[in-house]
Amino acid sequence: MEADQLFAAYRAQGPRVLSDAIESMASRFDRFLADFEARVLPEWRAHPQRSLQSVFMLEVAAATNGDSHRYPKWERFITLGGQFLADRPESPGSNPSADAFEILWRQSAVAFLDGLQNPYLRDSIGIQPMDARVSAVSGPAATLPMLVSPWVEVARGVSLELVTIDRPEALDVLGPVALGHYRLAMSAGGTARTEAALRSARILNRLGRPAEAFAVLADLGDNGTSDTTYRYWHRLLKGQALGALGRLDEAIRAYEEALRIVPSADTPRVAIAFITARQRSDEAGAQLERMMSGVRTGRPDPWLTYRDGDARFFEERMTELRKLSRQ
Amino acid sequence: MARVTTLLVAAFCAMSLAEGRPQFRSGVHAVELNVTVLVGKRLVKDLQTSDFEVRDNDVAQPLVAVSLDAQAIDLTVLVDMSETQGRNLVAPVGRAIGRIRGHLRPVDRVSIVTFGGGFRTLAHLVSADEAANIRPGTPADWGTHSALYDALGDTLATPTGAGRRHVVIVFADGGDGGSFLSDADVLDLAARSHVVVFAVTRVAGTSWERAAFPRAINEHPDRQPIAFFERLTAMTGGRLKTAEVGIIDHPSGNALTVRRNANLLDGALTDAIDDFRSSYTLRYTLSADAARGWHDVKVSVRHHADYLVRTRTGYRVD
Repeated sequence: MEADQLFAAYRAQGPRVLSDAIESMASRFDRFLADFEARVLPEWRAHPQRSLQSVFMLEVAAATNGDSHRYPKWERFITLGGQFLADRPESPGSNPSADAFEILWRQSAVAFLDGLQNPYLRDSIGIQPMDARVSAVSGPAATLPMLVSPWVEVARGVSLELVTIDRPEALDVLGPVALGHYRLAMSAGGTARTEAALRSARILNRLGRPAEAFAVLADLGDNGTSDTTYRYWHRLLKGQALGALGRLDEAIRAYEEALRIVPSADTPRVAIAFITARQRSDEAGAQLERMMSGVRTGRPDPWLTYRDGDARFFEERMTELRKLSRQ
Repeated sequence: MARVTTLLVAAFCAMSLAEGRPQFRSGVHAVELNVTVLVGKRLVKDLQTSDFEVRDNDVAQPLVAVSLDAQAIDLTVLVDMSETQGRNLVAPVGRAIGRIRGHLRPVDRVSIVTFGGGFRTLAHLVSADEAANIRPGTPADWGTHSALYDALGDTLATPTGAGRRHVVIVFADGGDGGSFLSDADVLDLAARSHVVVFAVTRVAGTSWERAAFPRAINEHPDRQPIAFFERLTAMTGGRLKTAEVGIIDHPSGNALTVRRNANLLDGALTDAIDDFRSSYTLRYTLSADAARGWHDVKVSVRHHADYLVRTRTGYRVD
């Protein structure tokens, strides 16, 4: 099936047609991609309507990267999709709904890339193309107009932070740079502030600056979010900062709050075990025994999504993107 | 191994202590060291109290007891089941666990914990016979990140049975990708714990990060994953073995391919158990005042400069 035929089927039947079609391509994927770039994409560029086509490209990339058929150059569809949206006739700022759609498309692409656990790919395919396209705040009048979203600074910071998680030896150099991005996102406000503040606290804790981490968390509070994951991270990171400051009883209380938010989670139990093992008092030992069953079950724990960047938002964003693209 | 306990020497007012919690009372600290002695590759098993010289913070210590293989063992096997390593380790780890039966006694106990994303206890303080039937997981168990530090920290912090020796053997990719605890947290716990850690880990990581962020990464070799294992095993008196868990390539900068090393763990687990079982337990005491803080430990065998002596590099008392 050629790309325009597949697009027609996609338009008629939705995303479910893509996975089977892509999986059956095998060695023909190269030809599919070449034909798409040479023939189909130029035709699409001649028309102002771009949303459904751009979502199709993102869906193809996602369907192409399945476990059983990880084709070479699959990521080209994300690059082309991003360029396709950036080449739209109107400049940023002149069509707010088109701007919002493009930002959501880029957020969805990054969320998908985050699920692949490859920070290099996330950065090169998802983040770098936004350098001259998306800004956290509006620029001066004399500069080229850009899309505005504080999220982009969170995304830039996460790229660097992920490298420091995989390679902790990079923390001293990249950690402060990531903090700079998060600071920009926090100052711009919006929903990105919560994520940026929490991630700032994590990096500050890792850099051995718990007093600053605690201040960021105290300033944030639970403002602006009822999200379980964020509330849970907040308690964990607060406990970590307090523990490093020697305020051990308060740290344990923060971890216990995290446990009340997600009773199944192992991470607060591990954190409490860490503190009580260092306290070495009978009371702490008794508490440790109450907390530690000795058996870990691998039950859902929102801390495990911290390393996944935006991946946890992928389905939600794609659902919204599909809806918008068909309006 | 250094088990730091406190002996009550004044009032002998015995306290009821739950199993597995170290004793901390005012008085005199009793220190236990786990010491392995080799000549060439042969373990030396016929040494007496008078053969050892122990220096604690450079002060010679009179030994109050030396024993060999007198205590039951608690063995914890930690296995990396993150997505990239899970597929490499299922077969070799399953085979290695199946072989431990002949290397442990009925009184010894085995726990098996996998980590990848979160961590999961597959066996908890079971006999070697029961452990031999445990398989380390299926693709459904593979997580996306190695929660190595959390798994190690949890193990080091968890109380073990009183009067038992605890050894941990960790099979890991080398890096941590999802833990809440840090490498420093784990090393801090290790310094206060009596647990001995052996590790088998991959020789070197992938190189794309080096290409992408050369300055940030290449300037700190001491903070690379392999350096963590070197510090952890040295601090606890264990041993580090490096091997190719699987050879990972990123040929086009993004496509991941892994060639598996099916023979990776042949002998590694049982060698570590035998090594640990053949180690001596040395005991000496310090006054409470002298015990606080970090202690450098050095052990040698008198009149045998050719003997290689391995024990933990030190321990911490608060």
